[in-house]
Amino acid sequence: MNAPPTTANEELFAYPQDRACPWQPSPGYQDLGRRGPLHRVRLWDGRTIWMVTGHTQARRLLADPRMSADRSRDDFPAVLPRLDAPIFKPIAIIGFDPPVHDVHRRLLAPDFSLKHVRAVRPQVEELARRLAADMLRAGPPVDLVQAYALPIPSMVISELLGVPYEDHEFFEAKTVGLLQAKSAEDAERAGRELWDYLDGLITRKEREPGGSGVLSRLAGQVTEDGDLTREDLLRIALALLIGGHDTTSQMIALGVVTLLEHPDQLAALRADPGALPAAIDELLRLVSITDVSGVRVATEDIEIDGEVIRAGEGVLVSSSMTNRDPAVFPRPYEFDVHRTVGDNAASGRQHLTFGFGIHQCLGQNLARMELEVAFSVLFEEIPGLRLGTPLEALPTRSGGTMQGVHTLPVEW
Amino acid sequence: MKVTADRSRCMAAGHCAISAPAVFDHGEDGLVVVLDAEPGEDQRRAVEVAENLCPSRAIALLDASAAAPAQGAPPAG
Repeated sequence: MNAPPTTANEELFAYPQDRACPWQPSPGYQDLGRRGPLHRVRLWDGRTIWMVTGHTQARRLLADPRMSADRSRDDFPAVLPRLDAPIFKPIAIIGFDPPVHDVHRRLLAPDFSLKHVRAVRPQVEELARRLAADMLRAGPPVDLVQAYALPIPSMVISELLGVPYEDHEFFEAKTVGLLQAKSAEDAERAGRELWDYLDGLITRKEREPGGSGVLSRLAGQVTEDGDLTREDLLRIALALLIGGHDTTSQMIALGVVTLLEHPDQLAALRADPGALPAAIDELLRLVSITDVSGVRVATEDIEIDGEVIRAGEGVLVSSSMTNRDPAVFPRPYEFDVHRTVGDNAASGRQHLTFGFGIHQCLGQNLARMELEVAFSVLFEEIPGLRLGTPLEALPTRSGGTMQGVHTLPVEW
Repeated sequence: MKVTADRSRCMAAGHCAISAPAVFDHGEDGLVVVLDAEPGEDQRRAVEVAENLCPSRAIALLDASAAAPAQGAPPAG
């Protein structure tokens, strides 16, 4: 195995850097993007990796089978301290290469298909209306994260997986503990608590077959010498539970902030509800909630744009910057709900917020539907919604890649 | 124009069924199904978008207008 590249240059760009505006990349990333598509950046542990800000280069690399997503490899970069935790090393699906990746992903494809998403939409609408009614009853001010942005995806993923929603405070808090941990030790502690919880839940499902949800269905397919071992199922459960609610809830929260801070765009959307699906992708592009389209390690030397990514070197694709490549998105820093319209509407899905290649987000269509419902119901039921605090005073997340706010005070 | 979809590459992202619903759908397993393997030229733009968006390169557009000019297809926009 190749030794990771060492850092000779102390002046290298330090990754990550915090945003100054909730919906725009850090000023430092914007500088990088202006300089070219490929950059060398320094991580917390001193390691140097490539950071990709060009859209074409990102798509090419993320679809290249010579780029490995296998997090158990010694040369796989931990781009944040928390990602050095053992619990993250073999994370299901996103942390595996083919053929294991493909087998596990296909097991889940029916549950995340467009047909399934369309079938559950009425229930999500009913849920959103109930939460909005509760907010109106409680009266302002309200923390939109706890009252609305978090319960929608949290209930949806609980229902889909067959995780009891009554346990939501536990799994939401441990997920934040895992994803916002500043050290590998803290991440490991939170992750193990979730692991033990899911272990107990799956044991109950094994004892009482025939329950609802993905985990009950898959529990019936476990074989210790086949495609799905019990440990595989536990890892899949953990990945889906974590991946299924935190990013979507923060996308609802920052999406609301972005819409409220662009009243002309919010008005344009209200006047033209048919533009909502394309506007969702414009919000996904702009906000780039995870701010990473993928992390990989090269398994062979790869030539790209006159540079050579050497075998054993790490690569991180920035979603916020690839989503602002002016060759693909003219006026890239502008929020424009009518950026793609009519026959061209689907091309707004070119953003890399959900990644690209075989690892592109499994839950992307579920997330899009939840966002459509969340924004349309919220602004319909509470048309006078406004921020309850100045934009500069929002308690934003820092020091990581997952963007968001700890709370979002709103009034009306 | 002919289109193909490779189910062994499909990762069920669903872009094809959204961008070209007259040409692509997906089956009970969530994977791509071709509804119309030889769509008319009016579907060209939609199929091109589907091909471009497919993250696992499962969709291919085989350009029949070059191979069979007798069809009198309008030039691609």
